[in-house]
Amino acid sequence: MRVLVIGGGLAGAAAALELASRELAVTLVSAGVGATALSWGSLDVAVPSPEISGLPLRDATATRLLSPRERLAACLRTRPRHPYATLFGRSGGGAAESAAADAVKSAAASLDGWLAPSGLRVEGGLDAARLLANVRGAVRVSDFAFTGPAEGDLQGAAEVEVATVAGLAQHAARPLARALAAEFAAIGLPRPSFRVVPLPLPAGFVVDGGSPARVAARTDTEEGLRVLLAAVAARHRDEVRRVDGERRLLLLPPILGFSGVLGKLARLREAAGCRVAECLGAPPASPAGLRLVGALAAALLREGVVVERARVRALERTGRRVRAVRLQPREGSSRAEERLEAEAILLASGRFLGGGLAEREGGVHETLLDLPLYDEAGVRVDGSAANRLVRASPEGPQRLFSSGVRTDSRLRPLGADGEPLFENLFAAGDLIGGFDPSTERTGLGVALLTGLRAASEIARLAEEESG
Amino acid sequence: MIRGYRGFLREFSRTGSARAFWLQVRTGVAHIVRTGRRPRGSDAVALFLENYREDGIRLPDAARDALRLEAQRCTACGLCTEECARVGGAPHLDPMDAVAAASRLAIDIVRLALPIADAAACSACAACEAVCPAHIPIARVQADLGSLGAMAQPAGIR
Repeated sequence: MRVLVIGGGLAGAAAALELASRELAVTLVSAGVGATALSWGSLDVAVPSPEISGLPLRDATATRLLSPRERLAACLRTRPRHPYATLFGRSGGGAAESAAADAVKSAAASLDGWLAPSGLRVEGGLDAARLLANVRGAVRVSDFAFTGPAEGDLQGAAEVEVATVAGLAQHAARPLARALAAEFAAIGLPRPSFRVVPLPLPAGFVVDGGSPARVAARTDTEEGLRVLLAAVAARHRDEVRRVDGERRLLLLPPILGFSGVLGKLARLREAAGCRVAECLGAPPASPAGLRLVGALAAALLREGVVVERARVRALERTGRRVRAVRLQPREGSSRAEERLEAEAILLASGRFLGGGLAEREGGVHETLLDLPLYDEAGVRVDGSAANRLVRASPEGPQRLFSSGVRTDSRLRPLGADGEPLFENLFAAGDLIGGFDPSTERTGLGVALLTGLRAASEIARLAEEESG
Repeated sequence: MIRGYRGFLREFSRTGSARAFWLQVRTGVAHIVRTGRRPRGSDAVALFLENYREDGIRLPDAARDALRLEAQRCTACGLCTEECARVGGAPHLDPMDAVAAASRLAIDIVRLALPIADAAACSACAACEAVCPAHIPIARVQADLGSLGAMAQPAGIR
């Protein structure tokens, strides 16, 4: 069975990798990586934000953060139109909760297996949340995180040293340390002491107006990394320590390059004599998203997934089946439009950033099949102008941001009548509506879980049709 | 005229750009000379294009309009710049500048002079395109800006 995956973000890549591991012939058509490239460096599966979930961050005794498992269960309980409710069923009797927990655990393990050869691990678990600092001075309750920020759990640290790098843009250690301290006061957990430590880097290490990308690229060279190691070691040699290394955390700006972060961190830990981590951050302040993208691309190559760098122009259909996609002819190519046939197609084209949704002719539409779109309340929104789906207030939910397609439990997009439109068309990732990745920040979690589920549904379809 | 002159002063004090200065001289002084020395035609647009062909000025065409619309999807995430740095692009190349320039192509032609020099340094490897979450054809944007290079880099001025 030939399978086509449309969309090169985490949902599409995870699905393609999973399908390849089940030995199905899979082609990934990717015009770009979409919102995956904007990752902050954490992979959150359960809704962390108290404003969205209505949950407190801490448990009733107020001594610890709610675990990812508890927040996942609360999400299933309170969000009937969330993609998780579609995947695992409504809560009740604990079956949905344990199915969700198992799926999350195995998904994280699969992703870790694909990324690990590129020196990027997925760290974390369902039993304890991490408290990670971002470059803007907010603490983020995080379920899983990628190597780099993952090591920076602020719980259990008695002393946090916020490193300043002179001249580095988009990173201000002093306000960052102050903001982190204030965040702790707001959460009400025991607060570590925050200190700002300047790293004695030689003049000329930070160049080009302090661009974090340039500095990150420098640490990708052995020479640049040695300079950073020497600065960290020099800073820490002269200090008299009151707190032992395990309880001390050196918080670096996200400058540890685009690859091999695992090895760099080990060397930095040795130089500093304490735990070392990066702050979370989105580009251009952080290379975290590009690390993930690079590691996914390497995994796709390794697993033998055929990747077509092209944009899909149209899907061909016959009755209740999709047959093929037509690709936009490449720039400067004299060849006519390319056509790829497949027995199953997975749409993981994302939302507005990925190109799965767009506003045209005055209304929001799904771009390939004009699938019906629904907001989180279940109201149909396709055809409405985007500016009618947002409110001027920054508070509260925006319908536009939770809109997407609706699927059945096998992740097949539903038509207006509530029946799957096609037997062999599946959807994964942000294209599925019912949650708002921009405020919930669980986009990667949903992408991973729906991508893997779609892959196993496609494998099931292949079995049904062959046998 | 006076407004244009103020705009130039602001631009010049902000950037100290010789290129911006040169463009200002061209549009301010050369315009009078050029339009004066040629007979008035009946078609003002054709005359304008004729006078400024050597500067690379063309009418906006449908392809460029489409490109400009694509450039307006830019969310200024900066990934293209990061990727360019990662793959070892030219020292001061900033694809995001080019995208920003393209999206304001019709608005402010003098300011355009600043990032256009980058377009010439671009090797069109398109690594930036591969990471652009908004799927902007950045290499095409750079090439398009590069085609305006005649205007940005008049002979003898760098």
